[in-house]
This record gives sequence, structure tokens and C-alpha cells, in this order.
Amino acid sequence: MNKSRRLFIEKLAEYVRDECNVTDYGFQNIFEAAEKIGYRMIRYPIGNDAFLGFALIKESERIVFSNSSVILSREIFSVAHEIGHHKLHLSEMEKTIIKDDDFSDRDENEIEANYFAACLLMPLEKVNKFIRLELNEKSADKFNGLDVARIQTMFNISYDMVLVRLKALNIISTSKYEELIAEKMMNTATKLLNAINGNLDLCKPSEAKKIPAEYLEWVISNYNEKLIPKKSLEIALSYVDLNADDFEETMEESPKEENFDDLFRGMD
Amino acid sequence: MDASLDTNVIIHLYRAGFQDVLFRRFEKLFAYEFIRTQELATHAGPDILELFDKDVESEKIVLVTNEYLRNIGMCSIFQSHVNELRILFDGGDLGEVYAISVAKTLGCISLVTDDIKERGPHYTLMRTPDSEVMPFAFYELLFLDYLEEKINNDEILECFSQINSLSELSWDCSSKLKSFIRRFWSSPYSDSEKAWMKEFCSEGHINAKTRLKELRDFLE
Repeated sequence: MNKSRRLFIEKLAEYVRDECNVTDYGFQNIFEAAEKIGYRMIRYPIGNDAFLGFALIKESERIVFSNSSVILSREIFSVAHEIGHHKLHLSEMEKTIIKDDDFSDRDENEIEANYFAACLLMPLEKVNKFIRLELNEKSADKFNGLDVARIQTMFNISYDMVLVRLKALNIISTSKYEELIAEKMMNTATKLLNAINGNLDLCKPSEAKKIPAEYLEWVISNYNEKLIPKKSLEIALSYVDLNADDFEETMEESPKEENFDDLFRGMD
Repeated sequence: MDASLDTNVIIHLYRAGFQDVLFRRFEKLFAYEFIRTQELATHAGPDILELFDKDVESEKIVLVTNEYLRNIGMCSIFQSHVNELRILFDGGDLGEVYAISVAKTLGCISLVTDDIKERGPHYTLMRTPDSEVMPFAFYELLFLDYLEEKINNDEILECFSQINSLSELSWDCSSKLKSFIRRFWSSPYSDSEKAWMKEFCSEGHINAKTRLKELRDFLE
């Protein structure tokens, strides 16, 4: 990725943060933010070994899917990464889907989506501001695991991502990076978060089952309009642990049989 | 105009010997192999199977096999339609899912099906906005033939009654005529269907109202 492309992606990420009205260090709720800027957000626990997410354009709808079986901080990164794919690589006329089994830098698109996610979740200015105001301009070579856990909590990202980003921004050296990784191995990210009263949810999978409310409304209205059988309604609702019997069919009066004269008048 | 065939309409028309209704309306007719090997084999008698196979042999109907779809590079598109439609019609049989998928995959404008019940393919496709496939039941094909004066009053009634009685459908011709008028003129479910009928009448120089009034008078 050359310098001009990197700058372009940084600007794009900044624009998306503005669009989402993110004024804090990190996203308070990236899932709601994604919906707010027009993505159909689907979260579903498909297993820890399954793929992480996908970005899809289907019939003009832009869809972001994230696997909620992985720890929350990783899922948050997935959403940022998939938004990156939408902004950078998908279009209705060309590529309409990118599925991510992992986020390894296997090709240029993945490198770019990772870079976008990093800029979106942890922009340089916000990192510098945090170090200045919250860590009291602490020198990076004195950072410890607790500092990383503080950054992690404020930016709502994983311990590892904090380190990767700090290293990429040349805020910490390679040796410091390795030292902090080793500290995590000894203490675990959860213990470090616990010690600072940080957001422990980041280290656990949410197992959330969320689909856009409209999708449920469509399936229920399709059933009420007698377009789909009850079994299809049951299957669709069971994905989000809802029971078809809770949605009673609305009974419509059968239309009065028109006579031919009325119908022929309607042909004029 | 091309069409994909559902199992029930094949049985109804062949049983009564009125399968020509299909051949005079459509340029190409397609049936998915599952419909022949599973559904017709189970529900149609040997007489119907023999006639149907002859029509396949003489290329009046194209039997769509997986190999056929692979050869034209449409196998995965077909499969993705099947997967989507199975969600919609999971309570029904697979034949209708395959029949609609064939229509969508091969770009047929029509699905011919006599499954007109609520939540079935005819009912649902007719009410689906921007549906790529128009459903026709056998009686609607008869009304189209009647509008074009391919058949007269006696013939339409004879044909309708024969199919109705041999397949024990208990359908009423006047009532189906009313549905036909509602669908294409007085309260259409989609503008595209209304526009299609307008073009059909315009191309055939058909005064639909006069013609259908004549049929109404005859049926009454």
C-alpha cells in the first residue's frame, strides 16, 4: 500500500467516524453506528472456528455480518474491517461480497481493510490525545500491561490490536511490543482489565443474535399476507429465538365477491 | 415466451389430453428432471408418463438436468435460487421450488402451475413486487387463448370442465374468470402484470372487455 493510498484510507476512516458522530476515543457501540450509517447489521454466533464476518451487497442493501462467537473486541474489529471492505472494495457493478475466514494480510484488499479498521477504531490523533491526557504524557518505553488495558477499554478493542496499532504508529518499539505481549501471556488480558476495572466484556464472546428489525417485520408481514407458509415463518424466527406462535396471524375479512358488472367497469 | 412447468399442471393437462394448451402458448417449455423422475413418477400414471416422455423426446419440452445446467454454466446460479426459494416455500414440495428456480435461471418469463392456494407459488409470485416470473394456472392460459380467439366459447368450457372434472379440482369457470379480470385489469397486484396484459391485447388487436363479456354471457 503506497503513501497516497494510506492517506486516502485514513481520511475515509475519519469521515466515517464523523458520520457516526464518534467524539469519544473509541466507538461506544460500533454495531449501532454501522446501522446508523446505512448498513444492515447482522450478528450471529456461528461458532468460534467459523469465519469472522462478511461484507455483502444484495439488491442494493449493504450488509455487514459478524460472528458473535468470537470475543467481543475481535467482533468489533470484524465490523470495522467489513465496513472497510464496503467502502474500499465492493460495488454493485463489480465485487459484491467478501467473506473473511481470518484477517491475515493475505492480499492487498485485506491489508487495506485492516488498515481502515485500525484507523477507524484507533486514529492517531485520538491515541496521542489519550497518551497526553489520560496517561499524563507517559513515555511509551514505560508502558505496562495496565496502560495497554486502559487504552483497550477506552477504544473498545483487543489488547493485541492496541499493541499492533501502537507499533504501527511507531509509538512503541518492537522490543516494547514483545515485552507487552509477554506481560499479557503472564497475566492474561482479562486480569489486566480486571485490575483497572476495565471492560471485561471485551474478552468474552457476546453470542449476540441480532438482525435488522425490518427483516423480522418482513417475514411476519409475508406470513400475514399469506405469502409464506408457517414453517418458513417458524424457521426464520427460530434463528433469533422467537416463537412463531407469539405472532398471531391477523385475520382479514375475505373480500366480498364482486359481480361481473363491477369488474368490467374496472376494465375501462 | 418461455415457461417452466410445475408438476400439477403437467398432470392436469396431460390427463385431460389438453397439453396442446402449453405448446400453442409458449415457444420453449422446461421441466426440471426431479419433476419427471420423482414427482411425475409418483403421482402421474403410466399413460401420462409415456406422453410426457414422447414430448421430451420430440423436443417440445426440454428436460433440465444438472448436466444441462452445468453445460450452460448455470448450475451454481440454479442452486442459489433453490436455496433461497426453499426458505420461502419450505412448507411445500420441492417441485415448485425447482420449477421457479428453473424459470429464474433460464430467464423464462412464466411459471405454469396449478398450485393456486394461499402461500403457494402462484399466489406468492403474483403478489411479489418486481417478480421476474409470472405465474399462470391452466385456466389463465385458456383465457389467453380465448382472448386471441384460438378457442371459442364451447371449447373453453369443454376444456375447463374436462380438466376440472378429471383432476377433481372443483373450480368454477365464472369465478376463475373474475380472478383473471381482477388480476390483469380491475385490481392488479403489480403494474408490470397490467402492462403485460395491455401489450398482449394491443399486439393481438384484442378488445378484451367485449370478448370477456361475451364469455361471461355464455357462462351465465
